[in-house]
Amino acid sequence: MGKGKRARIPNKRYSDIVLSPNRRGFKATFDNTTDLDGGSKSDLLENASSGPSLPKRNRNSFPKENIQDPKYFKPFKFGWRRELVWRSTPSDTRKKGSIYYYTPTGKKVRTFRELSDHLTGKNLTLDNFSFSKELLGIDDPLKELSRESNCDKSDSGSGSESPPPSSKKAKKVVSPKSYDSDTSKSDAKSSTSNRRRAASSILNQTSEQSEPEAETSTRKGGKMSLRKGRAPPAKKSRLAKNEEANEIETSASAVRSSPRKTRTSQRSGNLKVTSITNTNANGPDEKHEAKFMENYMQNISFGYNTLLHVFQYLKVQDLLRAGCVCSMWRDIAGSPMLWRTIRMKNSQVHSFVGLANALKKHGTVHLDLRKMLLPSTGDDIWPEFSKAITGVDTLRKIELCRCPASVVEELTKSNPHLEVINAVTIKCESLNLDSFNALKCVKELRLKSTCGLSIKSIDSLRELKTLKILSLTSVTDLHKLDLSVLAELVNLEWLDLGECTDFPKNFGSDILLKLNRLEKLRLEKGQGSCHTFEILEAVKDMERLEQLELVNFDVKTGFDKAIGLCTNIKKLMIIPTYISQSATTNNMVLSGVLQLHESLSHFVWGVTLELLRVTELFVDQCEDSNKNEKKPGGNGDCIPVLKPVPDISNGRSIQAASNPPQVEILPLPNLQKLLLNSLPTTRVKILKIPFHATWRQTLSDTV
Amino acid sequence: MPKIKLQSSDGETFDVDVEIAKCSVTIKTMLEDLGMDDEEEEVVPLPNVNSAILRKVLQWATFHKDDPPPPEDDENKEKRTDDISSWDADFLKVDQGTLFELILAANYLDIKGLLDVTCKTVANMIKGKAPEEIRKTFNIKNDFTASEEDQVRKENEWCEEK
Repeated sequence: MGKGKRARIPNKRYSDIVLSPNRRGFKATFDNTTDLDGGSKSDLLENASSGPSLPKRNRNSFPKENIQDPKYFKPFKFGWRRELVWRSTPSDTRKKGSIYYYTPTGKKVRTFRELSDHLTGKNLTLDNFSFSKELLGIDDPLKELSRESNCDKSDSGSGSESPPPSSKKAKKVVSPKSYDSDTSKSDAKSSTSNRRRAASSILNQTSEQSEPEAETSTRKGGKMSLRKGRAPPAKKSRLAKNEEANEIETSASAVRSSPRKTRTSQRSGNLKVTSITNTNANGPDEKHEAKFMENYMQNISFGYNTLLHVFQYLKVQDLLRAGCVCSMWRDIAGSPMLWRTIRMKNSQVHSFVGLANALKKHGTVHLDLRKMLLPSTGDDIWPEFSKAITGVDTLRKIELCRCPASVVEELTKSNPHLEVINAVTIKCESLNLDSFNALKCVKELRLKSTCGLSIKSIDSLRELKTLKILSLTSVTDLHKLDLSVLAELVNLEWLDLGECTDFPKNFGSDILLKLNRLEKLRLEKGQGSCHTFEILEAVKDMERLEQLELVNFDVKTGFDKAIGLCTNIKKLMIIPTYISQSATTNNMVLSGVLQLHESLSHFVWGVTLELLRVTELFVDQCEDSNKNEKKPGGNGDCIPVLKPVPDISNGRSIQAASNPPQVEILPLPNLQKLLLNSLPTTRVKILKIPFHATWRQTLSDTV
Repeated sequence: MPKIKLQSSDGETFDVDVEIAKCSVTIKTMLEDLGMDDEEEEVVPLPNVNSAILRKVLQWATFHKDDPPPPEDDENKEKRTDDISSWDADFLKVDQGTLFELILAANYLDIKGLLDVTCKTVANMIKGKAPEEIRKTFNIKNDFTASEEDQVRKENEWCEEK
């Protein structure tokens, strides 16, 4: 004894690596087992090899497998052989044995781990194998064999490949008193040289060299040291683990198939059992490590991509902080893909110069300042912004937060390459568009103020032939401007205008009809003398137009017929003004929409909360005057509709209003039902909104 | 419902409904490319996924089998991390090793929903943390030189939350 022998450590299945609870349980099992004598050790190791991979079983009292299970016979069909080697040792006359499998190609396999390397086909799984030290009982020596080991003789032979241990050191290590300090010390001292030796010995090793004979003698040594070095505390496992983890790192590339040999070959004699205990406890980590190193480059690339994916979910301030973590994170966090669009929502900028530099550095294309937190200092920050943003020439799209009109005006001068300017919360009352003709590539322009916007002239827009989307709303005196400019923007696909009251009578025929690429039209605030019918007259002839939004438009008698002709419209939103004659309005909307039952795919009807409240009051009054009358439709939101309520379901046709006019109080659920029945192929939505929110509603938001 | 056998890297096989297995685009494409018959008992080897992780992946896929297909990534939409369902949040209460193995598996198996929700979970572990806290969370070593760190800090100080 005492010559270097290699202990074989049972390998475990890959699944053990991940299940950390099992790992813990596994460690505990081993900590409890040092009281056992060497005789049961092989059983113990065997159990350990399969125990944690079968999490349902109780690891401490491992139940016997049913060795007769037919599944165990399956490997023989595919040319596998099984061998049971019996051996006895001088110190223990009880019989002990080992199970080996031989692959169809004759390779000897000792553990599940090794097995899994050979199970590449679809026919067999680890469940078809058992290392239980019994014969399966198949009476065919070509398939299953039992023999006595011719042990102990080849000891010195196999031992010579590992360096002979220093017996002094070995004794020290197993001595319970000095164990703690000495393990770490000797490990540290020998680690470098051992690592080298380990690496070279692995390169020389072949699988043939780890014969069962070597194992037998290991057990003898193991038995003694187990008795002496009782119950190594868990702490030591960790020490050993660190040392061994390093070692694996350095030699892993050479190790390839069996990292465990690295450890065992450098350790020797009495040390071995300790190392068995430790390495089993830590096996998963090291296995993992080796597996990781095997695919090192692939894993790095995986890590890179994972971080890139994760960083997409970070807001700019989190992204910046992530970039401070380490150099790899810095580089990934600086990826142009993550900086293409920068959103400042809920973030505060201390320095626009810093922001601009960051945008420039990363080639930001789209800057979204909406809902950015603004300092309390007020508008003083904006000159700095206007100056700083000048240099960011990669910028193509900008969405502004609440800011003075001057910011927009400056932007057109400083960043003429902008393709999209979205400024819908302009703070000032007047905006000068004169500089807008510089925007030679602009495709989308949205301008709106939080209060009424006053514009002197839109003539400069004449040159923006590239414009596809123009939204010019909340402009109080739009009708006073020369709207014929709009007719020249022939590439327009999307046009929002407001306010439309007092629009010239020829707006429809002279302007809208010229825009023959227009697909979406939104008109806001058409009241009083607004030429709604003339506009609808033009709308029905706009071939490409599919979407119409009328927001806060008066809906008067005759509207139903005018809108009913617009069969080109597929998506319609109507939010009528409910100032007077609401019952007539609702009758007109309903009747008009029902005429479009074949063409509409989407319909949104905006009903103001104000109307609902007024209707409720009206109903209450009626009840007071006539208490016996039944409440129409029960409680809830109702709207008044002039009778007869238009309804084309069940084959009814729309009837003209009868005289004297009467009002029906129609609950919204009933209205919804009526619409669904009459417009079976249309997605219908009834919006309930306060008047002040009507301006914000759009079809794309609601359907 | 037709079944398929999936074999993990450690040799365990799982009987899975084909429809559930097909949430993995990798498996779906493989089945389509191979033109596998539904009746055939095919075993699909997944050498990059171990049984413990595969079990979790299948658990996730089973729960989400009736989900509508996840929407394509829209560049114009802000990516949120506060929309993780409570089931997913519970499901992902695992150690970091398992979480990253799930990401690896979702990536390999090409399961967008699982990849998104796991990456969101990692993002939430980063959000609102100072660099040093992030290092602690993920056990990362600060490898910046003093001057590098200074430079990074300077470049980043223009923006802070609230």
